[in-house]
Amino acid sequence: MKFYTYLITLILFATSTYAAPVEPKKVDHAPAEATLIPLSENWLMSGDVPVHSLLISLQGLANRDYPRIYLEYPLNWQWEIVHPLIKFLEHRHGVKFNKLGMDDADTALSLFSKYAKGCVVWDKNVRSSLIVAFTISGIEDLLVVNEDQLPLAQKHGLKVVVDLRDKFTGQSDDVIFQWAYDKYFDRCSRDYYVVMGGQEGTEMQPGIADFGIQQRAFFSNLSSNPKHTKELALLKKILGRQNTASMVLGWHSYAKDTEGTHTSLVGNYGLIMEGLHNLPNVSFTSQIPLTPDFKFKNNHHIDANEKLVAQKKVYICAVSTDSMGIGAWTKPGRGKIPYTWQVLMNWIWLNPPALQYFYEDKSPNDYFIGGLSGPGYMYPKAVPADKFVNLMKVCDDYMKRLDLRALEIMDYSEGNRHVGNTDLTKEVVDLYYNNCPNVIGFINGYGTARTFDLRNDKPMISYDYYLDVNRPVNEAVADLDELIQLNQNKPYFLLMHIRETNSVDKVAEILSKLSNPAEVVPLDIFLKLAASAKTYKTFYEEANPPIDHNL
Amino acid sequence: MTPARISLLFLLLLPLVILKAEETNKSLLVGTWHLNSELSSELSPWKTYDLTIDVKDDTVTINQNLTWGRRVFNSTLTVDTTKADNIVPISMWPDNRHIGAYSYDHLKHVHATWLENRRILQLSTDLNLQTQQGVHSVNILSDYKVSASGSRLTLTELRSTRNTPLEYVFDRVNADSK
Repeated sequence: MKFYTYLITLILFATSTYAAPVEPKKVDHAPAEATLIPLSENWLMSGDVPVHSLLISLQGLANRDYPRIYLEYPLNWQWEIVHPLIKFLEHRHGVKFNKLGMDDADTALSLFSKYAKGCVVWDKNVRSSLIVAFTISGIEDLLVVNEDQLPLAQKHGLKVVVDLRDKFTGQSDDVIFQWAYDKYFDRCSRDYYVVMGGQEGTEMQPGIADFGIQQRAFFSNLSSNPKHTKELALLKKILGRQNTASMVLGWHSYAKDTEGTHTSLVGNYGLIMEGLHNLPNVSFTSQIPLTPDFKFKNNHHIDANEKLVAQKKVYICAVSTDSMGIGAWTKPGRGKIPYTWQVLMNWIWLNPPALQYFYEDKSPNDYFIGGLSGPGYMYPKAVPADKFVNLMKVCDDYMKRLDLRALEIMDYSEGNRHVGNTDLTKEVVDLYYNNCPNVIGFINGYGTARTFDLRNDKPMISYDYYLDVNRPVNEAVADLDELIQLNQNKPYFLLMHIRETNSVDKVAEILSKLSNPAEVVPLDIFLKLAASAKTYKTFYEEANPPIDHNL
Repeated sequence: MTPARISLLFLLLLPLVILKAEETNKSLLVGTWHLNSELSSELSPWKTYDLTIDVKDDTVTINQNLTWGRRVFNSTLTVDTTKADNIVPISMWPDNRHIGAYSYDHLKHVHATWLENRRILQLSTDLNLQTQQGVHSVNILSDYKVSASGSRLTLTELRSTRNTPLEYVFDRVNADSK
């Protein structure tokens, strides 16, 4: 009997455990005091990138075991929550910030140089040497400087430990990063890898580097483009050596490869991507716990098992996916109409105060859903089935903790909103239905897509409309009216994706000008209504679909 | 007039007759055109739109090139203006990629008409679009109109499912500006 009990326990354990990202430890509560260092708007390699890199590396080292430095990125920074979060940390978490002067590296080093054991000098003439210097900084606890900053480093007692000047002159990136790989990769984190991409050439925005340094991650901007065979081979070697379900931070290089190839490749290895190279201050925020009185609570409009009956009319649901952080949250109109926002679920451990800020700042009309396709950003068609199952366990856990009931899926591994296809195969749809037992439904796409299904009262609805940032109101009104004309059966379920910086005000204006009556609803209501009247036809990716690999 | 003189006169006039016939067939539409986005309906998700139009006798060929960065769509439409129905294969429906409507059978039926001494080409296109609820038949009236000077082409499109017209204004791309 004991044997069988043991066996059952073992089986239950084996089926319930799964690989998940390693979450950095939290401090007991936010620090009473921290240092705030404003950064300028100049992110040119020949401009302020050197001093910013110095400060970011200092931040990563000083914050390694405790949150001490928060960098005040400029107001035009892509992640627009930097400034609201400062106020939130002050008022809600009780942090008192001691503000230094802009880019004041001298004072910062007076306070924090003790967390560095020396410095690594990058080569001003070889951009990639700075990326290598970030790796070395984390591994050897070194401040990142260029030769112009050596007197400053010496003033604060930091001697040169690694000098990359003239080391990589004339070398290609595959050679440069191979050198870094051979010398440092064995000592780097297997839980975090940083793609230091995004802007290329004369500019760099290494906002995520503080966290990478703190976690001793390997940095590169190696290409996922099949044309770059040597870089791709090394990149595959790196991804293949990372832990199961570990994190790929940062973003692909705009000059080398594409979002599609990068995201597909990361998915091939079953890794979890947090795709923003300029996501700032994570070495600070990842250590801050939620306030004890806070619990993630969504604005559900209906019980999870409740049913609704759709009337014969048009239902519209507006979903904003990029906008919690880099788009519309702080723009005018939020709260005016029912609006659905996709939550970046990894922030539950990567950026808890930011999520607490969003949850506490939401209006009664703001509704949250999970995404994108799983924990982090992934293309399910690119993820092997066994790895997918593991990732969905992580996803399920995050959704429960964040009080989320609907999951958004996006797959651009075979196309985009222009060419190719953005649909899910039946096999992928099966995987979602089989591995997401707690959802009330799914939505799919980014641009429009054609995948529709309904199983066990849980619909899968694709976007029927994509609101481009540049689309004028009158054309958007005509687009939506045209969709209603094309789909004359009622109820018609029109799911619209609101791209990034479109404001809620703009969406409200568009919806107010429709020539057809329509009811705007949040996603939970939308899905429940769609479960009650299947006017949409079941559709999966066709045989021999058009494919564009986003090269 | 002797028969020999008649023959000589015929031979002298023949090139003029041929030239006149070619002139009658020729259209100001022929050439390469580049979208003037400032004067046109908003084009997203595409950023650029080029047309190359050729006319030979009763056959009109329109090459369409739409791009957004590295994302490109090319198509060629060839129609015989004497036919009531030209059946044209299409790979996809590129006109409005913002909305969930897709080519159903990858065909379109086109009827073409010349107006105003070939200054205006009118196309009536019928195609089936697939949406989430099934297949919907759509008619598109396209009006390719060249300005009197021949330097500007205005494409006006009326889609049976759309409440408002779309207007695309193109400037002629001169050979020396290529």
